[in-house]
Amino acid sequence: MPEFTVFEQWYSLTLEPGPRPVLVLDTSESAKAFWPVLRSLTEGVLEIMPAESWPRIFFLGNPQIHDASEFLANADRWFQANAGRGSFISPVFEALQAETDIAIVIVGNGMIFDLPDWHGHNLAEHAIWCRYGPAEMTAGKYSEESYTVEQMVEKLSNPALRIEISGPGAMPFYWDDSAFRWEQGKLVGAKTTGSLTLGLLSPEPDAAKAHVVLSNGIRRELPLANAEPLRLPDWKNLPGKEDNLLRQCLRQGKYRCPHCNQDHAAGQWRCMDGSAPPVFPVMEEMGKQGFCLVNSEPWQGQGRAHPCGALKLADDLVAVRQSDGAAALVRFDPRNNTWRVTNDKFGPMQPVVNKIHAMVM
Amino acid sequence: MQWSCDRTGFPVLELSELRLAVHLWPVCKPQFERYLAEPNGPGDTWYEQLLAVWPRASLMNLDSQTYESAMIGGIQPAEAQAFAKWLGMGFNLPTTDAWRSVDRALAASPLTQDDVTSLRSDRNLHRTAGRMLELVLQLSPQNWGQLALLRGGMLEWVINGPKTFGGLGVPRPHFYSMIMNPQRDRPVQPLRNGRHKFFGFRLVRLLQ
Repeated sequence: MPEFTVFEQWYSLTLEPGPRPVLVLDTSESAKAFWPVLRSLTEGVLEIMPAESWPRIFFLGNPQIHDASEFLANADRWFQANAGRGSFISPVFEALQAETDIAIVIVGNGMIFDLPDWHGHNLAEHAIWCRYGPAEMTAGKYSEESYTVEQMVEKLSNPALRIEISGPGAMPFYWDDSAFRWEQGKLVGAKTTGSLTLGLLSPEPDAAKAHVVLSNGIRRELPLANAEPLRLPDWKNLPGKEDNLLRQCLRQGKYRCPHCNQDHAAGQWRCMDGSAPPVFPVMEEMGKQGFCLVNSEPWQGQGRAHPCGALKLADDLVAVRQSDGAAALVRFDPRNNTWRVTNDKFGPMQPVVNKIHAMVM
Repeated sequence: MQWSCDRTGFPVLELSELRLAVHLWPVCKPQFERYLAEPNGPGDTWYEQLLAVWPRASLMNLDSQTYESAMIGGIQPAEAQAFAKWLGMGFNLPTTDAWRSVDRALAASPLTQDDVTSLRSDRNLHRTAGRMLELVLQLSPQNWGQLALLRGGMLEWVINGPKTFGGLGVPRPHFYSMIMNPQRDRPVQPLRNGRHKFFGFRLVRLLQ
């Protein structure tokens, strides 16, 4: 018995669209002459981007948000109201400092005097600096480019690329979305909307954190809520033919193929004759999205689908499907609090508990 | 000691016995920049001229030896008064007598740990003001006068008569070397026109 405790916890994760991006327009003395460019650039951005993704508009030096839907009607009036503000980013960054993971583009010309106060802050480090005149905005600290409308839209879009769930000693053993996979110690999924329920094993409770990774490299933490364990599919009686062949495998490690009448080793679940129908059609169907389980305890064997790329075999042992279709055994190492892929092989009928065995079809 | 924060989030001490409220420190650049960020202000070119005399440094990069860089320097009295007007509430440059009264009153007011704790936890304090506080606290001030940098800061513009201004204060020698007793000597008037980095200011207003 292991001399440590591993907690099994279930969580749910809701993936919501992130906050709207931000477009900051510089109408200071040094950028005033470029207003026609800034205005048409902004109009172009609003034309291309879907309205639900339109950026919030700020003017440099002004903490007030301007509604993008009113830009066309009010652009010149807003310009007049903001013209001549000094080149200071603090009022805008202070208004946004609770949102450190947004896409923010600052368009203008000339030195932003107080930018050094924000060096190292996410807002400054991830901001896109778009310059339309000759005078540097960031004193060489950040890259400054003159972007086209299309490039600007791309920068503002900053879509979510993937979700990552990981933590010290944390190992996912079940999740309900096949878009996720376990790689390099993390549960990673390209899914960025909807929800996910997952089960985790870890030596400490609440060890894992979830993050959404945005295209500009920002990682935003997502709350993991405690959830009820997922209900697995029901056991189903196996057809007598499949049951009989599986029991042969359990007894002898091989079965007599009904198609070619030759012995096949357990694990070779299809006849080598390509034209042969599946030998285990029910189990194959059950195992399509991960593993399948067989219970040989009842007089009529039962099968159960396990529609996930991971399967808990013990408190400290999880099987994980790999890209080549095989399964690896990942074991908890309490000495360094990590889960490691072992050299042990996942057997053709891997024991789970009692007379239940797991299979990769 | 009572204080509140002005609209820029920098502390203003309330000296009821003098019926005066006074900025805790000479006006700092992040504080002044709130005014410059307003529409139709003096403009970037004007500020560049000021910074050419006394360059800007981020408070995040300063320490107790270099905090003067955080303060506005090289400013003219009329420009300081324009900032006071924007700040509102009747703020203005202090008169010579008012500055000296504040200097005496603050030097006689011990700075307690409770004062420091309260200042640090003031939710109205701007983050750059908080940083300034930490820099000055590195000098282990024993009274409010030392915390206020009336000595150890800038030569501060005061109103010395009708349309007459001069500077009072005791800058640190490595910043500007001079011998002056601000309680006794006349306010310094620059020998030549122009901007001088060691001229800064703080504002006062009458308490109702």
